[in-house]
Amino acid sequence: MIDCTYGKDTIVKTDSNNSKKKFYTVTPVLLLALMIAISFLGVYIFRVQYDKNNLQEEIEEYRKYDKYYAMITSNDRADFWQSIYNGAKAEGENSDAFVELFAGNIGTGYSMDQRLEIAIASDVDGIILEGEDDIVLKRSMEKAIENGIPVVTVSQDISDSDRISYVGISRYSLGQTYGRETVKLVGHMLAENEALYNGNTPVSVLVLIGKESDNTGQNLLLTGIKEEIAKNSSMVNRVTVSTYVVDDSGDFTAEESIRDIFIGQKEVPDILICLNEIHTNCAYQAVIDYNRVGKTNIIGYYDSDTILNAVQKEIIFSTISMDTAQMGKYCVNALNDYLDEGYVSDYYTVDTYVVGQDNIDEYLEGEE
Amino acid sequence: MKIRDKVNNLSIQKKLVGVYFLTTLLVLAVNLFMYININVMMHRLDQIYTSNINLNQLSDLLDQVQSDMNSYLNTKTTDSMDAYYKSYQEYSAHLENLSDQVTGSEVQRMERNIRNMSEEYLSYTELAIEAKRGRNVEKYRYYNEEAATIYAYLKSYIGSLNMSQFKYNTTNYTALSKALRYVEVVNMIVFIFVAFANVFLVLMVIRDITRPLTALSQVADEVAAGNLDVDMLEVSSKDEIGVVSNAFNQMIVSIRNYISRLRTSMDNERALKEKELKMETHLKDAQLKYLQAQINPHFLFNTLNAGAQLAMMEAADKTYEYVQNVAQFFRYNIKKDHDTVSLKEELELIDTYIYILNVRFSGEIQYEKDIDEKLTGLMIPSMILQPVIENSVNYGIRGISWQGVIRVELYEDTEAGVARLVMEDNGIGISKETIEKIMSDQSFENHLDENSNGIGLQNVISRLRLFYDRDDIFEIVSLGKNQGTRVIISIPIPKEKEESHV
Repeated sequence: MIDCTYGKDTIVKTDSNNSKKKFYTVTPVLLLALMIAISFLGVYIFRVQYDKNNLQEEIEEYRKYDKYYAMITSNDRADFWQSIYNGAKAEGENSDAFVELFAGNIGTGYSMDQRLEIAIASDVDGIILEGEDDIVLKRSMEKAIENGIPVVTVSQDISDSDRISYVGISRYSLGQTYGRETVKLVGHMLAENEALYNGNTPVSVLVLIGKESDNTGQNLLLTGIKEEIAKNSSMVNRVTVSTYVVDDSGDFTAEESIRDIFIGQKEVPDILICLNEIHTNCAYQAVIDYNRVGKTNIIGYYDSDTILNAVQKEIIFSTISMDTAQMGKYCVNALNDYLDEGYVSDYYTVDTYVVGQDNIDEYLEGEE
Repeated sequence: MKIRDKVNNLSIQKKLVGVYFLTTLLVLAVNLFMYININVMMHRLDQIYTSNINLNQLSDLLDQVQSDMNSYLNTKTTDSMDAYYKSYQEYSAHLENLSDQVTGSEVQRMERNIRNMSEEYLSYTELAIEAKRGRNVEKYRYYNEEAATIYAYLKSYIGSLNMSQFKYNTTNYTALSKALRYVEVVNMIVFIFVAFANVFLVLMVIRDITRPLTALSQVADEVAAGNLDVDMLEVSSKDEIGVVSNAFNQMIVSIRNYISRLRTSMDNERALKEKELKMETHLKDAQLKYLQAQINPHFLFNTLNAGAQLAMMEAADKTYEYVQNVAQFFRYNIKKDHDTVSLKEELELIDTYIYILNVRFSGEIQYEKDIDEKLTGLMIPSMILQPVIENSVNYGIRGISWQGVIRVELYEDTEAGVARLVMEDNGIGISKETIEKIMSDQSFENHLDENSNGIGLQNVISRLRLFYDRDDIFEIVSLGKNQGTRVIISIPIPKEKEESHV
């Protein structure tokens, strides 16, 4: 009996010995495997982290371009020009051309003609230039053409130059559009306050003209406005159109210049016609600041968010805009065509449209 | 398991060295890997600002070209011209390092522009130098102006590029140093883990190695304390400890065997001694009983002898014979104080005994003998046959209505190698139960019959058994009631004796 129990005891002991033995076999192997795994995991994590941090350096496998176009504008940061640039850049991507807002980040801010000079010295393949009525710029442009670099003007033309093409709106037709809007606005004002605008006090329209704008273009534009007003016989005598030269030669001067209208002149105009984005923004802010909302109406230019917002608030009566992306695209197309085929259309006309009270909601919805 | 077996068969030294080697190798490998990683990183860190250094050199060379050109334009010396061409060459060579591709990378585009502008600039300086040499004042002034303009643009262009490179490099530097710090932490964690795991691993292996040693020492302790009844050690390895354990196991087995053998032989000896003692005791007991039963047999014998002489003097022959026989019977008892006697003597005692009984009971018993005289020399323990005959007379024949017969036969059973002494009566017989009782009951201290001569049948049986060390020495056969009883004593014939007899 005792023997029997003893035997059982022995068997149990052997069992536990076996499991112990197993433990002693498996654990070191597991431990070793774990050590190796941890080591590799550490190295792996390190690699991942390292690669992540060095993303900039490692992954830069840049696309190479066949052509290199420089775009030179008076205000690279304006929505208007950014929008054109984006259009041009997108088109460039499709046609193996890199478009750059040229030398904007070089030095302490070079003027347009200086940037043009740098572009020429850099031997770019083509230049997209915002036209200005400036003799120095014109001369630099001519130098570019002498060096065999084609120049396309955009938004504003440089008259009597050898630029290969102009992309923008016809100044005359733009003037007509402004004129039509003016007539609409005047009609609106008269309907609201007939008594105020009798024969003695006509509605005064002030057209804001950039100092360095192309004169020919300005004249065409003014003609367009005036002709449109003249078409309405009822208004001819009740509207006076005059121009105001905004000094935008230096930085920040445009804003001061526009504010002067509200301070300096005895009679603040009833309608302000702005021909670029900056002027529109300045005029809009000035009207608010000088408490002229509802008294001085604005017909603006371009469809930035700020401007559209102002249209919605009825501070700006309407704004005239154009397809800026299309403008950029046409610029690149013009340069490509010229380089490929040696000739190109003299004008590229882009679509314009008016955003006013009647279609602002629709327009915003469309944008969204 | 195979690997484990292989590992188990290694010597302890190899095992320990193996563990040390393995863990060290692992730490070394991890260390090496990390070291290489860090080294690569340090190398990159070193290289980060090389682009800035290159640009600074380019800028310095540009200054050199410009000043050398100016110096020549001012002085027109050969030295300044040489200096100009030298810096011109150097600058050109440096330009080769710049990219000339238009790509999505701003830095590469800037490099391309700087390269193109520099080429234009250099061509202007060259033209200016040429014009100066040709003394064309108007032209060299113009070219100098152009060169100066482009020089100014270039300077700021290079400055811009330097700046953006610096920004970019700084970002990389930050990333790298971050990664480096990260490496430190990872290294630390890995090392700490590996170190702990190593210690644990070594601990486990050493425990694995010393475990059988511990078991051995425990068992050895137990054995030392005197407990040989321990479990065999489990030997799984063939290293030194395995060998020692095996030897220990064998030692225990040997000791156990030795002890058991010793015990058996001691047991045997003791049994032998016990038997001897018992024999002696029995004999002494028989004699004691006998002496108790017969008060001073010497006196009785002498008395009876005197009686016999008296009967002879009186010429009473029958009385003389009777007394003579009685005296002989008692003399046997007195004389036989030693262990063994010959069968002959024993048989003679029976003759005397039956004669006495026949005188006592007036010839009631018919006594028949068939003795093989060759066997009468066999030695047997004394006082064996008389008690058997006494038994037959007292319990078998006494009181029967027919003529009682006692028959003694001695013959050799050659097959069994024994001499068979058969004592037979035709009395009332014994029941089987009684026979069994007599044969099995070893205690001879049962009460003696009043009529007995003093020695019980059990005493006879046990003395025979002890003497011959055989159980079948004594046999009682009875066919049933009134069928008589037969007692057979099988006396082994000693070999030499047998031969001499044959």
